[in-house]
Amino acid sequence: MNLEGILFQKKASVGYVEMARKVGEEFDVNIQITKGIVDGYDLSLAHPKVKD
Amino acid sequence: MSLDKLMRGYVNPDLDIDMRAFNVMKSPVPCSSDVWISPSQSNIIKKTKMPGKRPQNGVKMVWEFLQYRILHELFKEYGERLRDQFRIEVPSAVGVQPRDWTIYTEFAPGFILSLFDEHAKDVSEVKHLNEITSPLESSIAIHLGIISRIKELEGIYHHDYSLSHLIFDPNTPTLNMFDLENTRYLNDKELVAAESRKVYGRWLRIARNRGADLRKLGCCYEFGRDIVPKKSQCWLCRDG
Repeated sequence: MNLEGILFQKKASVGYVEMARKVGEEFDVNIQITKGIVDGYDLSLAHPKVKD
Repeated sequence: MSLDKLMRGYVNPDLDIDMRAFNVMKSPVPCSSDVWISPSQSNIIKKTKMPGKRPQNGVKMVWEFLQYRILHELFKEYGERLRDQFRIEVPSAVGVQPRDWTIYTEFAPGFILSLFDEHAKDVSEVKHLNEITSPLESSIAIHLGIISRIKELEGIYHHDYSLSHLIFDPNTPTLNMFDLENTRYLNDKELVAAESRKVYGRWLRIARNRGADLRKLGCCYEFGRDIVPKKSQCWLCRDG
């Protein structure tokens, strides 16, 4: 594999949390994916069965 | 753009949605949404309308819209990592209108897995991207294994994960996951894994009724789980 291929693979290793940050930037909102919060608005009520 | 702006509604500026082109289609299974389909089969042909019992602020619609955007991109990257051997996708959301309880998403062709036995009676084999042909039930088991592994690696807790929220297209073949209104990150691998195992178990029941060999399906499911590369894996080593 050449260097370009390695860089591509590294670029592809973006996770759920990081992708949430990217999409948040696109729409200028702060998505706290681990807490269900957008711009400080708590969505935890939307997830009553989920334990933290 | 900000949350306030999103709450006033957003539609991808590259698209021109004409609501007159949409026809309502009654959902084949009991659900909290109406599905609107455009007969033009253009990019945007699906509309989900939430009933008024949902939270009045509509923020949850925005949450689901963002989840579609996030997971669409994430699954696309996993698809690239799988080198297009198998297609697992989340449709992209292209618009949200919180006041109308509406999300616009790309259309995902295929059959809802919970109704697969009814709609795919005549389908027995699937041709994969590498030209290898496999029994339909095995192909779905592999795709379910891939998604279950990705969910666990990333901590994706769907919360309402079921065969009713998975669409399989035997022609491409592609497995799509949707209905993300309660989806979030959860740092509890066991809980994330449990919802995937439950769905796989239900698929086994359908496959058994179709005469599939359950031992082989188990092998296919594990194969699907095994081919998903871990984030921490060294790409140089993986490629030898």
